[in-house]
Amino acid sequence: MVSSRRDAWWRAVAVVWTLVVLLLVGHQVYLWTGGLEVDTDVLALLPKEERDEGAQAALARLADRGSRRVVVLVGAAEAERAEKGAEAFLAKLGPIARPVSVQTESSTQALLDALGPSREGLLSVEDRAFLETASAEALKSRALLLLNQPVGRRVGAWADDPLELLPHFLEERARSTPVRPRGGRLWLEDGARQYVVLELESSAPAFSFDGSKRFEPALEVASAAAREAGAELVLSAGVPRFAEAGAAQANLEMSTVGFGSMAAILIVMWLAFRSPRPLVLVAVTVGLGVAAGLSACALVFGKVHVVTLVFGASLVGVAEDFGIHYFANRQAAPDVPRTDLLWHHLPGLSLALITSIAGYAMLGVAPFPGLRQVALYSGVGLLAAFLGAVMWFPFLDRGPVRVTRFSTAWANTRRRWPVLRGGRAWVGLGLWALVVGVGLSRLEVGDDVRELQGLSPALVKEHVEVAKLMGLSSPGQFFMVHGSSEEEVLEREQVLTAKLDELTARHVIQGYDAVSSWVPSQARQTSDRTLFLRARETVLTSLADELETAGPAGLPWRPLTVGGFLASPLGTQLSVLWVEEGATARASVVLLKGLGREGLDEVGKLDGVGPGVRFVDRTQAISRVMGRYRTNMLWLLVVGYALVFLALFVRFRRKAWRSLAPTVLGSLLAIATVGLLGEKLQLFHVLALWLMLGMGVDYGIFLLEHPSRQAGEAWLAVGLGAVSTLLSFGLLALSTTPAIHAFGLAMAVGIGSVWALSPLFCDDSGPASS
Amino acid sequence: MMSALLVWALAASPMELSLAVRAQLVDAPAIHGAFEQEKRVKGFKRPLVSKGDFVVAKGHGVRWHTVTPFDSVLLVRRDDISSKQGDTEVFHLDAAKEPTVRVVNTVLFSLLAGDLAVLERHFEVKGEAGPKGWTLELTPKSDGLKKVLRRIAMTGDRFVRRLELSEASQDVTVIRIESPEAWTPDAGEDLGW
Repeated sequence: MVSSRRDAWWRAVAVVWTLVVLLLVGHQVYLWTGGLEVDTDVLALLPKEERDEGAQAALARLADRGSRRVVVLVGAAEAERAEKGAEAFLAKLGPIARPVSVQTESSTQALLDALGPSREGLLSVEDRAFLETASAEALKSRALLLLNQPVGRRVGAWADDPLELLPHFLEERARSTPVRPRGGRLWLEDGARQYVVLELESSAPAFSFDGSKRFEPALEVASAAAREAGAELVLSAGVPRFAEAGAAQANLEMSTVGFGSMAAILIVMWLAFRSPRPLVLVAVTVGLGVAAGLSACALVFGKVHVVTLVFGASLVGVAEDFGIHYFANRQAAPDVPRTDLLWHHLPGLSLALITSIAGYAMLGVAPFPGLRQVALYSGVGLLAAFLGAVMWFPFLDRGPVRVTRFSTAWANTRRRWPVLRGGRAWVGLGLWALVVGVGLSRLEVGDDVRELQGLSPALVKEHVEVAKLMGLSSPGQFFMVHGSSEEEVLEREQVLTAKLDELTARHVIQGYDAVSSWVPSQARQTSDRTLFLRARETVLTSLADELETAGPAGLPWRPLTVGGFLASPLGTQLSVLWVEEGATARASVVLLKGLGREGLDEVGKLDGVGPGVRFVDRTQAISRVMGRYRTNMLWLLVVGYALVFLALFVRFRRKAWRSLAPTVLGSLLAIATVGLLGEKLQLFHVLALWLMLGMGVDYGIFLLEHPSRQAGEAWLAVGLGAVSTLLSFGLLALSTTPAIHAFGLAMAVGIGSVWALSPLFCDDSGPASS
Repeated sequence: MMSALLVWALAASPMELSLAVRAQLVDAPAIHGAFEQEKRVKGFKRPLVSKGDFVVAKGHGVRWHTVTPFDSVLLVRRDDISSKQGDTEVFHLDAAKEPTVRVVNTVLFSLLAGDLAVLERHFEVKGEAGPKGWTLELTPKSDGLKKVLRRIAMTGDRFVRRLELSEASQDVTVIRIESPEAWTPDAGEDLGW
């Protein structure tokens, strides 16, 4: 009677669940007909800068500018060949990318128009020093000397600027880049070759579900054409190349992990049950899990990152556990009504679900957006797979489940599996301790984020080469200067740039980009103008006898403002350096060029060199976050174990330790393996330990629920589950992304050993407390 | 030199002119002589006149030594350009920092040495050559050079004798070269750079 009322409720909840699944199916149709946005941005996975909103906004704009840009250098010993190469390159490139309009001579004129009215207040560093101390005689002879050069560099009338101070100022600015406009193109030379610099904007989506690359082949064809036309060297660099390479790799790994695990499940299911029904039903729960995870991520985050898809593929190997348990139990008790059977096993299954979800949830604790996606994807996926099995199987699984030779044989292995007892146990433990001891003693830690991104070394090498030739700035390290007004920011920036000039002179850096280089503070423009006017007055007076008119044309002067400069063609390129936050807060970014690892310390010392000046080292900041979370989450793991033990104690009392011990030993072995392989312990290993706690303990639970060595069904279920889980994470360990590899490796070793160790701790001397 | 010859052969200007001029010009490792420069600058009542001597040496560059109205030296080398007044450096441009320096230097060197092959890369060349000398008119090809120069008139025979540079700023510079001589510097001789 009670059970029929229970079954009616069951049926009702199952109907509600079915409606939820229909909604899910609807959402999936929407996603797969174009609604799914796949994120390939490598930076999207990294944590947000924790203490600075401004830096975050600036960085986002820098990243945004670079996300579609590719720089191509077409080089040859003679300019003509480089030019021909560049033409051939563009002709063959096709519609996949288009050249960005370049800064040419006409924009140089526009720049002069923008600076012209303010020229009296713009001095180069050298000229400022000269004008501050020069005698009247020195000024006059400088002016005469310049006049007597065979060819002058003047801008405008002689009397406006007899000392050629504006050209000198422009020359000093131009030193920040070796790229020069010439004949409608941008050029670069390194002594051996002349390069045409092409800036392209890629229109190819980085990710495609067939895993094909579109941008890279186009680039190769165009480069080959350039070489055929006479170019000796074609180099390209840009985020789209990395994004596409990463996406294609992710696609491959996602398929390997997903299909590999799925194939493994189907094979073992077929061997164990020899009937299509269990196969189909388990596949349905896995499908439900994957779909629900995807939908949850799309709904919560708007986009799904490729790394989530790779990681998420391993869910296939975990989500099948519930279905397998159900069928293993059916096989063992073919005559018990299905709902009764499931009801009996529900507490164990639920506990397993909760610990697994809790394990995944711990991935989301660290502030890495990518990991949070993985946590959500896996947690929701597991829940959906669980509900799918619990809600539907009693109604869909009609008919007997056969006992097969394979399942009997497998189940029987448990009887032969050793149990930890007596002297042999101590020998085993001693061996284990030796391996773990050696492994742990070799363990080193390393949190360098640069070693976590699986960037193709060939692409990195080419990128570095281009960056060196072009004097590109690094997006990972820069200065932020904050102030309450434009003037304050510029003045503070000048304090910093004076120091950076020293570092440039000592070749610690190659140079920098700063707004105040172009737009000095009003105070400096005013004092520079005083110097300028005095010097001009002196020169014009001393040469008065030679001149037709006494004075300069006397154009009206107005100081240059940031707004005015940023509106000019060159200014728009530098607008990423300027941040306006509301009415009162202003900030600027100073980008560094040619900063290598060896110069980091020295540049870092300029952090706080003046008020409002801050050095932002994203690479180090992220590495530090990873290190902090590695330590904290490792300590927290002890607390996690204590809590899980408490939960187990409630159910299993004095036998609780038996379900936890295999996980502890397996986890330690996983960490020791990291040391034995000479890899460095990092956050992702620790996260794997958490997931291992969540999943490994399940094996203990299932076996403790069926402690008798005669009860083969739990062993069968655990075994079948472990095979697919092991394969999922084992395949993850093959990933070229070091972070995913680390996670997969630790999981595979850990889960594998937990599975093998679990029955050792299963004492069959008495029934479980339930 | 091979590449320069190749470019010269492909150049658009009539080959006979180039050949005729090149046939007359002396091919020497170095040329030295005296100069008188007259510069007409807008705003000045009188032309600015300066005098001095110069050396143009293959593989080195140009040493432009002004004696009057005051002593100064302009050194134009492959990788930099600098101007000294006594011991004080008035300006110094490094090709590594300012790539256009190489173009300016090449052009200045080629004008004084009469290196037509190089000039034809940067200028449209027209003119005529007779038995006793030649006259050329150069107009810049690139926008970059057009910003500095409108045109150049050159006359000469075995040597370049006169240069007239019309700058974009309306200034006109006339350089007369007096008593030029082909010169082979002794090995290790200090040319001043």
